[in-house]
Amino acid sequence: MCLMDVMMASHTSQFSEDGKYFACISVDGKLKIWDTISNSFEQEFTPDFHLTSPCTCLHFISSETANKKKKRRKSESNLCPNIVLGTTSGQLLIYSISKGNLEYTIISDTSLQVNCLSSANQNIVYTGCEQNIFVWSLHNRKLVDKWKGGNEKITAILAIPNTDKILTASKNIKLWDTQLKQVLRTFTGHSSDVMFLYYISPNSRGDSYFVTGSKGDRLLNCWNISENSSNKNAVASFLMEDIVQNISVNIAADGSTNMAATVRNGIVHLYRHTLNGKCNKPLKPKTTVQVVSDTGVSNELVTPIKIVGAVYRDDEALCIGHGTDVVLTFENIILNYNKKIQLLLRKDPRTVSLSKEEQVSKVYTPIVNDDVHYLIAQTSTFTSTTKRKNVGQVEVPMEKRLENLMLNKPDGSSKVPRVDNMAQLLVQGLHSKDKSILRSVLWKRDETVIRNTIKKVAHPVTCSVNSGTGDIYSRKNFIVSYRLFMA
Amino acid sequence: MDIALNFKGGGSIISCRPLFSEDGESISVCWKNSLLQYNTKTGIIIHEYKGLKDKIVGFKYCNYDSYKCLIACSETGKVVVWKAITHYKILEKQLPVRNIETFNVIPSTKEDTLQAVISYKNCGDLLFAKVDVKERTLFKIDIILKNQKYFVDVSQNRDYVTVACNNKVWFARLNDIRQVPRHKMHGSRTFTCIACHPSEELVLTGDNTGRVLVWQNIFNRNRTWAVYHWHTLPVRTVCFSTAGSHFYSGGEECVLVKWNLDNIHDKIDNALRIFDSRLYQTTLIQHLVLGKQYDSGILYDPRTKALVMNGNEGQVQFYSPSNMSLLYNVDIVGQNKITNERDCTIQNTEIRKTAISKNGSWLATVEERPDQEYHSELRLKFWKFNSEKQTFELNTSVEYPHEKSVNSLLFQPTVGDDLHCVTVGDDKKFKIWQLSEITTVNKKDMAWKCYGVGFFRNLPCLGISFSGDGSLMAIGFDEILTVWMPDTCQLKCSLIHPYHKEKLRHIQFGNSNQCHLLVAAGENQLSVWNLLTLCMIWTVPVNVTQLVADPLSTYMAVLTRYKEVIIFSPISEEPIYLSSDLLKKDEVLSAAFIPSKNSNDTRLKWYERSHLYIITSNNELYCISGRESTTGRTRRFCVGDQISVWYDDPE
Repeated sequence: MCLMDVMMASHTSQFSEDGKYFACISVDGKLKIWDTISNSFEQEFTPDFHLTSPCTCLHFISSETANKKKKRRKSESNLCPNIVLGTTSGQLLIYSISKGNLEYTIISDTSLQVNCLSSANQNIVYTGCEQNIFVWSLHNRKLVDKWKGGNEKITAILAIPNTDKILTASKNIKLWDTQLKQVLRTFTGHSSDVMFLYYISPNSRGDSYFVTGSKGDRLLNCWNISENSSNKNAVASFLMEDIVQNISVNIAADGSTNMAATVRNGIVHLYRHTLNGKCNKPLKPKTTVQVVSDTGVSNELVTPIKIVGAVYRDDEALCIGHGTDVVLTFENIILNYNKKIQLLLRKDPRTVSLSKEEQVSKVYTPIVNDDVHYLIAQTSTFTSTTKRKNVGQVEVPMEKRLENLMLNKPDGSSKVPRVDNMAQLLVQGLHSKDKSILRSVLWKRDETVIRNTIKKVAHPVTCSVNSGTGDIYSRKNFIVSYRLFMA
Repeated sequence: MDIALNFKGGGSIISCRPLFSEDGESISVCWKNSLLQYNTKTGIIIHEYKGLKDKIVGFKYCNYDSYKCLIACSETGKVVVWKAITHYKILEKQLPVRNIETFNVIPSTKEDTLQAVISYKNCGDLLFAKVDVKERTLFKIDIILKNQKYFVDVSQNRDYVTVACNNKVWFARLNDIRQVPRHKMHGSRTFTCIACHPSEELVLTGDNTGRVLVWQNIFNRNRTWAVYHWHTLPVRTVCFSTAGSHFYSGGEECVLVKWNLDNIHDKIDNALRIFDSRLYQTTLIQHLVLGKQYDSGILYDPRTKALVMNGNEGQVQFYSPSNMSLLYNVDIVGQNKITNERDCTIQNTEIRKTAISKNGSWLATVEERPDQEYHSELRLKFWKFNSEKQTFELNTSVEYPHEKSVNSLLFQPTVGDDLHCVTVGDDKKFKIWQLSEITTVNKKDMAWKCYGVGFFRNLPCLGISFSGDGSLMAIGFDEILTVWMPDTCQLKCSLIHPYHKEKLRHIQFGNSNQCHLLVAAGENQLSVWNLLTLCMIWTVPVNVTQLVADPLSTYMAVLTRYKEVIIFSPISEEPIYLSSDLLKKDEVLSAAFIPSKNSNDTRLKWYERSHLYIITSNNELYCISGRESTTGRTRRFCVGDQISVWYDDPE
C-alpha cells in the first residue's frame, strides 16, 4: 500500500509550468486544482466512471491547441493551461481549467491502463501503457502510433523538448528515437522501478541531463544525455531521507542547478549543484524544509504537517504546499542555505474549519480579535516607567557612568592609601624649579602614575612643563608620557 | 534590447456592457483594445480576441456567414469580425469615418449583411449614422448633439434605435431614419442610461434622480411611460432579462434591483460579478482594482511577490504583475462602504499610506476619513502577518497618531526584532514607533508604541528615507535636510545650501557603495549631498514629480512634470537613461522599482534587475523594462525578440 501511495503521488500531482496551479488526483478519484499564488482552492472535478476507471496520471499542457492551422506566436497570455489525464481504461481526458470541465476525450481501441504520460509540445502526448508506448495527437484527437517498449511495464515516460526523442523507464531507462522506434541508449542504476523523469538543460552550451527517482531508492540520480556523452551510469546522485515524490528544478543565473525534492514523509530537501562532469560522492541536501504544528499543549505534542509539493519561484524563493488532501495551504518561503533545517510552525490543517462560502469574493478580512491594542495619542507614547530602551552603544548605563565620574576608583582591598599620581609634586617642583623634585617626578617609569599625573595636572601647566624643563631626560620622558596621554 | 513601456494591467473592463454568449457559458468583456471571453462558471479567461490597435468602443455577437460571430469596432473605425467557435478573424474593415464614440450592431436576419448604428465626432458635433460595414456606406440619422453625455441602444428584433441625452430621448426607426421623434422631459432630470426591450417596442431609461422609466408606444405622439422608483442616487445601468419579462437596475448605492416586468451586471469596482437567479454571486471576474486614489504608492510584498496598492475604498489590493492577476483584496478599515445620499456626499474611510516591512511580516496602514463639518478620523494600524494562519492580524491600532494627517509612513529596512516605523505628519512632527512589551490586566504582549517625537525649528516636514542598513534616516524640514538616528531620535546633522535651496519633497538615500549619498528633490531641483563631507556634490534643475530608488542597485529614477523618465546614479549628475517620449499620454500617479525574476544577477542592466512600475491617472499599470519577449518559456536571456509592446502587436 505504501509503495502504491508513492506511485500515485508522483504521477497524480503536478505544478503547472508557470507554478500558478497545483493539480492532484485525490484518493477518491477527483481532480482538485489549487491556485498557488493566491493560496485558494479553485476547482474540483469528478470524472465520469471515476470509481471504475480512475485517473492514474496527469500532466499540464498549454491550451493553445485551438489554433492548430494558424501558426500563432505564443503570447504570454494569461490563458489557463489544460490538464491531460490518463485513466485505467486507456482513455485520455483533456480537462480545461478555464472551462472547469472536460474539453474532450480521446479513446484508444485498447483498454490498457495509462501509467504515465508526458508531452513536450501542445500536440503530441506520449504515454506508457503496460509495456507499450502510445503516441497521441491532440490536434487530430486520436491515437497515432504505438509500439512495444520492452518486456517490463513502463513506469515513467518523458518527452525531451525540441527533439524526437523520448525516455521511458521501468528499472532501466531507455532513450528512444520516436521516428525510428529504436533504443538509442540504455541507462542502468536504479534497483526498483523508476517513478519519474525530469529533464534539465542547465546551461546554454546545450548539455542536457535528466533526473530520476524510483519507488524504492532513497536517492535521485542525474544522468547525462548529451550527444557526446556515452556514460551509462549516473553522473550525480542526491541522497535523502525517504522516497522522492516530486521535484522542482531551478537553474540559477550562474548555471548551478537548484533542486527541491519533496519526499514521502512530507519534507523538502534542497540541493545546489553545478552539473559538470561526474560526481563520485552522493550529494547531501544543503538544507531541509519541514512544517510542523504546535498544539501548544506540551513540547512532545508537535505534529508534522506533510508538504505535498514544492516549486521554485526563483533562486531563493520556494512555494510549498502543505496540509492534507482536503486542506492545502500554499505559501512562498525564502530559502536560507546557512541553516541545516528550516522548520516552519503552522496551524494544524485538521483543525481548520472549512467554511464553504456561497458568495465568491476576492476580498478577505484579516483577523481582528481581542488581542488588538487600541491606543490613543496619550497612551501611545512610552510612560516614564518604560523608558526608551535599546538606545544602542551611545547610551552608557548609570553604573558605568558613575564609574567614569570617579577617576580614581578607591581600591577597597588595601587600607593604606597609595600614591598613584605625582601631580602635586610636579606642580610643586615646577613652581620651585627644584630639579631633584622634578627629576623624581619625571623619572618615574610607572605608566599609570604618569597617566594619572597628567590627568590631574591642568593643560597650561603641562605646557609650561614642556617649556620650563631644559633637562634632556626629563623632556624625553615627558614627551613619551605626553604622547601616551594623547593616545 | 531597448527599453519600452510594457502594459501590466489595469484599465477598465466595464467601459462597455459585458455580453453573455447565447448558451450563457461564457461572458465577453472589452478591455482596452481586446475582447476577453471568460467562462461564467469558473471566471477564468477562455480566449483573448486581439487584432485591434485602438480602444474598442462597441462589440456584439451577431450572425454572419451563417456563423456565430463576435464583432468589435475601435475608436478609429476599424471593424473586426471573429468566428465565435474557432476564434479566427474572418473580416476586417475600415469604416468611412473616424473618431467613433459608440458602435451598436443592428441584428439582421440576412446572413451576409452587417449593419450598425454608430455615433462619431465631427467638428465638435456628435453625429449618428447607420453604416453598412461591408459596403462601407453611411446613412446619417437626424440627431445632432453637442459635447454632452449620451446613451444609445439598438433593439434586438425590432428595427429601432434610441438615444438619450440630458433630458431628451429620441426614438428612430431604422428603415425611416429621416424622421426622428423626440421627447423632452420637464424639470432638471437627466437620463443616465438606456436599454431596449429584446422583442417589444419598449424602452427603459434611468435618470439621475433614481427613477427607472419604461416607455411604451414610443412611435406614437402620445407615448406613455411607467415610473419605477427605488433608487435614491442616479441609476447607473438598466438591463432587460433575455426573455424580457424582468429587468434589473443598478445605481450608485451599489445595490442591484430586480424588477418584475436573468443576466446581470454590477458595475461598481471594475469587476464583473455574475449572479444566478437567486442573486447569489457565483463568479467574480476582476482585474486590477481601480482605486479612486493611489496615495499609498506601489509597494512590493516579498512574501507573495505581489504589488500592494490602494484598491477599493478601505481596502488594499495584492496584484501579481507577473501573471497580471489580482490575488486578493485585504479589508483594512473593516467598515461597509456608505454610499452617497442624494444631497450630500459621504466620505468613507480611505487608506492614505501603507508600508510593509522588509521581510513582509508587518504591514502598517494609515486610514483617514476627512470630514469638513465634524471631526475627521485618523488611524494608524499595525498588522502582523500570522504565518501560522497565513493571514494578517491586527496588532495595534492608534487613534490620531498625529494631530493632522500623515504624509509619510516607512519601516526601517532591517529584519531584526527592534524594528522601527516612522510616521511624518502634517503637524510638523515625526514620530518613531517601536514594537515593545506592554502589560495589560491579563497578560504581557507586544504592541507598537511611539517612543520618540522629533521636530525641527517648527518647520513643516515632508519626505523620509532610511539608509540601506537602517541606521540613519533623513527627513526634509522645509528647505533643510536633516539626518537623525532612528534608534535614539538624535539629530545628527542638518544641511542647507545657501543658494540652492527649495522646499524638499522627496528624499532618498543611496544604496550599497553610495550609501553616504543623500538625494533630495524639491519641485524644481534635485541635489545630492555627501554625508561624509556634509557637502552638496551636485544639483540640477529638474521638475521632479516622483523620485524612486531601486532597492537592489544604486540607480534611481526621476519622473518629471514634463513626463520625462530619467535614470541616474547619485554618484554622478550624468543621467544613465533619459527619455521624454516613453510616457506620452497619462499622468503618473505613483511609481516604484520592483525586483524582477532575475533579480539576483548583478551583471544585468538597470531595467533588467528591477522593473520600474508606474500607475497612471487612467488607472493603468505599466512597467518600464526591456521589451518583453512574447514567449513565456524563455524567460531568461530573452534577447532578440523584437516585438513591440504586446498589446499593440498586430495579428
